[in-house]
Amino acid sequence: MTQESVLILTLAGAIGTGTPLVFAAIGGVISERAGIINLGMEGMMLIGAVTTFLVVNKTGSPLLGFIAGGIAGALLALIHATLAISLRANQIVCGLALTIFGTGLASFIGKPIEGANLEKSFNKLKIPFLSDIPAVGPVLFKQDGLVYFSWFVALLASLYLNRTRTGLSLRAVGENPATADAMGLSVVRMRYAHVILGGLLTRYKGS
Amino acid sequence: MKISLERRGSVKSWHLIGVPLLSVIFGILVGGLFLEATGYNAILIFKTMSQTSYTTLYGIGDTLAAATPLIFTALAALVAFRVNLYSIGAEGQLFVGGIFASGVGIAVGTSSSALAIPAVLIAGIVGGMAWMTLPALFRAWFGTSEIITTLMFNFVALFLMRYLIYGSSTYWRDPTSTNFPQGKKIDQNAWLPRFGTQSIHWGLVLALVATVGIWFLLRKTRFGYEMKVLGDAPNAARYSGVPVKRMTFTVLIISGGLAGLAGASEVAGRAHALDPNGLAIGLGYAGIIVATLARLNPFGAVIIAIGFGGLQNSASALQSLGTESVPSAIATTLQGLILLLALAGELFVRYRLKVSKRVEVSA
Repeated sequence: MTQESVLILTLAGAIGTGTPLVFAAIGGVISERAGIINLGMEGMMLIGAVTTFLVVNKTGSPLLGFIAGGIAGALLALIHATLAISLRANQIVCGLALTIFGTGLASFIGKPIEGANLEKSFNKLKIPFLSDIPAVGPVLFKQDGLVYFSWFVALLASLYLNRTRTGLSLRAVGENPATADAMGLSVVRMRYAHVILGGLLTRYKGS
Repeated sequence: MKISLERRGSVKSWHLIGVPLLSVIFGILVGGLFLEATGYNAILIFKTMSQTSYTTLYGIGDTLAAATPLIFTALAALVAFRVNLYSIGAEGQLFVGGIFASGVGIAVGTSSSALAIPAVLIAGIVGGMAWMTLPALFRAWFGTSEIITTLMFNFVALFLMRYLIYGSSTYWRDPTSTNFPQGKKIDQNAWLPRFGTQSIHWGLVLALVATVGIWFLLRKTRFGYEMKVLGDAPNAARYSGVPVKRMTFTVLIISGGLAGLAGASEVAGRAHALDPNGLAIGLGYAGIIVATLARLNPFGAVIIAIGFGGLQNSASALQSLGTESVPSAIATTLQGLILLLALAGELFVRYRLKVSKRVEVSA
C-alpha cells in the first residue's frame, strides 16, 4: 500500500465517521438558535441508534430505520421541550437528566442485541465522473448515501436560518425572546418546533 | 374548561418536601409500569433495589460510600450555580483531582499517615482547581461560555486519565500487572481509614464537613452575601462595587477545588489507585442534578446524594437476580426517569394548576 492511499483511506474514513456528528451538530445549532441549549443530545443519539438498529434488522430497510431513529430522537426532544419550555426547568440539568435516561434506556433496550450485526446498511454510492478525480474523488464521492444527505441537510439548515422568514423569526426568538414576543411571534411554539426538529436531526446511524 | 398556571402566593413548607416526594413516587410507579410492560417482575426488582441500598446495614454502608463523591460534586455545582455560572466541569476536575492525588499518594505513601493523607487531599484540591483555572479565567475576563469550556475540558481529562493508564507506561501505571493495565496502588498509609462497615471511609466525614463549610460560606460570610447579590441581581452587585470578575473567578475555582476533592476522596478512600474502571464515570454530571434537585441547598444536597447513591449502588445487585436477572441499565433508566419527573414537578412548588370554567360572554 502506498503512503498516498493510506492517507486517502483515512480521510475517506474520517468523513464517514464524522457524518453522525454533522447531523448532531445541525440539530444542536437549530435548538440553540431557538434559545434552548440541548445537553441531552447524547441520550437522543443513543436512543436513535438503538431504534435504527432494531428497525433495520426487523424490516431490512435502512431507510425505514433511519426515519424511525429520527422519530425516536424527536420524541426525546419533545420531553426536553416540555420540561425546558412549558415546565420552566433548568435547561442544562434537564439535558443531563435526559442523557442519563437515554443512555440507560438505550442499553436496556439494546441488551438482547448486544454484539449483533446490522443486517443491512446503506450502500456506497459512487458518483460518476466526480469519483474518478484522483485523491479528491475517493475521499468525497465514494461515500454512502447518508454522507451526501448530511451535506444537503447542512446546506438546507444554513439557507433556512439565513434566508427564510421563519428562520429569521427563529433567530429573533433565540436572541431576544421579549422582542420576538412583542413582534407577535409565539416564542413557546417556535421553541417547541425547533427543539423537536433539532432532536429529529440529532440521531445516529447505528452501523 | 381551561387549565392555566398560576404563581403561588406563598410557598408553604410542605410544598418543598411534598412535591419532590410525590415526583419520586410517581417516577417509581411509571418505572414499575414500564418494567411490567417489558415483562419483568417490578415488585421483585424494587424489593431487591431497596434491600441492597437502603434497608440492610451492609447496603446502607455501600449507599453512603456511593453518596460521598456525589456530595462533593453537588457542592461544586451548587456553589457555581448560585451565581448563575453553569459549570459542568466537575466531571473532569474530579479526574484531574484523582490524577494529582494518586500521583502524590504514590510519592509520599511511605511517610506517616498524618502527613500522607493531608498531602493526597490537598493534591486533589489543587488538581481540581488547576483544571478549572483556564475556563474560570476565560469566563471572568473574556466572557467565554463556561458551559462549553468546562464540558470540553471534561473530555480532555477523561482521555488524559485513560492515556496515563492504558496508553503509556507512566508513573501512574502499575508495572507489575502484565495482562491488564492497572493503576499503581498508593501506599496504605495514604488511604483514608474506613469505619463502620467495609465501605464507608473518612471521605464521608470530609464531605459532611465540606457541606457545613459551604453553608457557612454562603450564609455567614461577606463573600457569601456578595455571591447572593451577584446571583440574584447582577446589576445591583456591579453598581454596589462587588468585584464581579474576581468573584466569578474565585467561585469557579472553589467549585473546581471541591470537585478535585471528590477525586482525591475516591482515590484515597475507594479505588486506592488511579483506575479508569474504579473511578465511576458520570459523578460530575450526577452532582449537578443532585444540586438542582436540592434547590442549591448544601444540606439538601446531602440527602438527595444519599438517595441517588442508593439507586446507583443497586444496579449491580440486579444482575445477580438469578432467573429474574435484569440488565443493570434499568437502574440508570429509573434514575433518569425519576430525575425528569422531579424536574417537571419542581414547577408545582412555585405554581399551581388553575382549572377554570370558560366564561361565555353573552351579548
